[in-house]
Amino acid sequence: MDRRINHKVPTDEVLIERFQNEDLYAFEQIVHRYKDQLTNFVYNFLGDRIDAEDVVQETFLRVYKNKHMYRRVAKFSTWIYTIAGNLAKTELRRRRRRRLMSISQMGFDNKDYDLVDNGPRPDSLVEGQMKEEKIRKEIDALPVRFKEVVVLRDVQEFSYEEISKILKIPIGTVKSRVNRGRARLQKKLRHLLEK
Amino acid sequence: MTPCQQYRGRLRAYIDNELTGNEKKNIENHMNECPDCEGHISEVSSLCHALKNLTPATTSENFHILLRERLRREMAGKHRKNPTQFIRWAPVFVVVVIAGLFILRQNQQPSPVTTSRELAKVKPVQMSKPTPTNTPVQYVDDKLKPSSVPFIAVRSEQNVDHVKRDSIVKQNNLQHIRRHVQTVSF
Repeated sequence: MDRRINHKVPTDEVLIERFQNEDLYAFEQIVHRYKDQLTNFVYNFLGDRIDAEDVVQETFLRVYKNKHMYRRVAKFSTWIYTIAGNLAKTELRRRRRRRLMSISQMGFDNKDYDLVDNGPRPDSLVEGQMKEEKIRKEIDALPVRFKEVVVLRDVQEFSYEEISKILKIPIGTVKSRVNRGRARLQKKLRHLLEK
Repeated sequence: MTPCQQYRGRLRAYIDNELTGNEKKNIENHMNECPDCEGHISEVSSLCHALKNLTPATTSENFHILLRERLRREMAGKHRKNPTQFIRWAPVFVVVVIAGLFILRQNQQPSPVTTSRELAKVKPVQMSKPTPTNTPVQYVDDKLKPSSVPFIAVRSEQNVDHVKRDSIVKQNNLQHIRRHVQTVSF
């Protein structure tokens, strides 16, 4: 993410302020600026592109409806990522409940339930893509508390201070969780990371 | 604590470029001497590099259109009167109206006297004082004890000479008529 300041381009805080004064074009600019990075963040969190877009749309909807709730004391990116992160976690919890319910509704007729693997065939993917799929799979398998910090730090490249504000946890906790999350990924992906 | 454990504890800070000066130099010196730590740091650095360079996910081409449609639906739903909200509050409204009507009715109707106990509580009807005006009056004959008549007959246009407490004397007839009268004025 390019964080250089360009003085000709309005900052996020200026845009949201204009939007709070009913400038709808400012909202369009906010959407344009954040849609891809939020989608990337949520996709790495949920592992599903369609769900990720749905969550990001809901995020912008919340920004639109609650624009007056933003105050300049925090960065706009902190605010919007907090909304997106909370919505992503809600979706994750909903998925877990759905999964539990579908298991509990299984019949007891001694049939084998073979789940069809609709994933791509290994031999049709190039090595780089395979490596990426494997990495994403292991990120998805991380506990939520490690996944969110690793994605924000190592994928989205937020500073520890910003992550601390987004997740509302102490900065020391963020650093500790990043360390432990990386350690888990390193253990699972050792064979991919060796030179 | 072994030097390896000590340096592993600072590994994250080293990878995140938080270390400066001597501390950073010390770790680099240790890495040069310890292949395990060097391999460990190398793996974590590769992991961070791989995470940073994951192909970023982007939105679909019709993202803006879908978002606009969603916003339009949301705003239309907000401004439209929500019938489900009305249905939710309707029973409360009905109860309040009924209670209000009941209270109003209770205040308007006098409570009927039904039992003897209630009768005893009721104050006797008091005679009103005759109004000293030119309003026409009538008097009726009634046999009442003098003491029970608090007021005296006031007047008649016909031949009343004077009035005593309990009787009237007609002008053209000096016969003293003992009559017990009470006045009713209209």
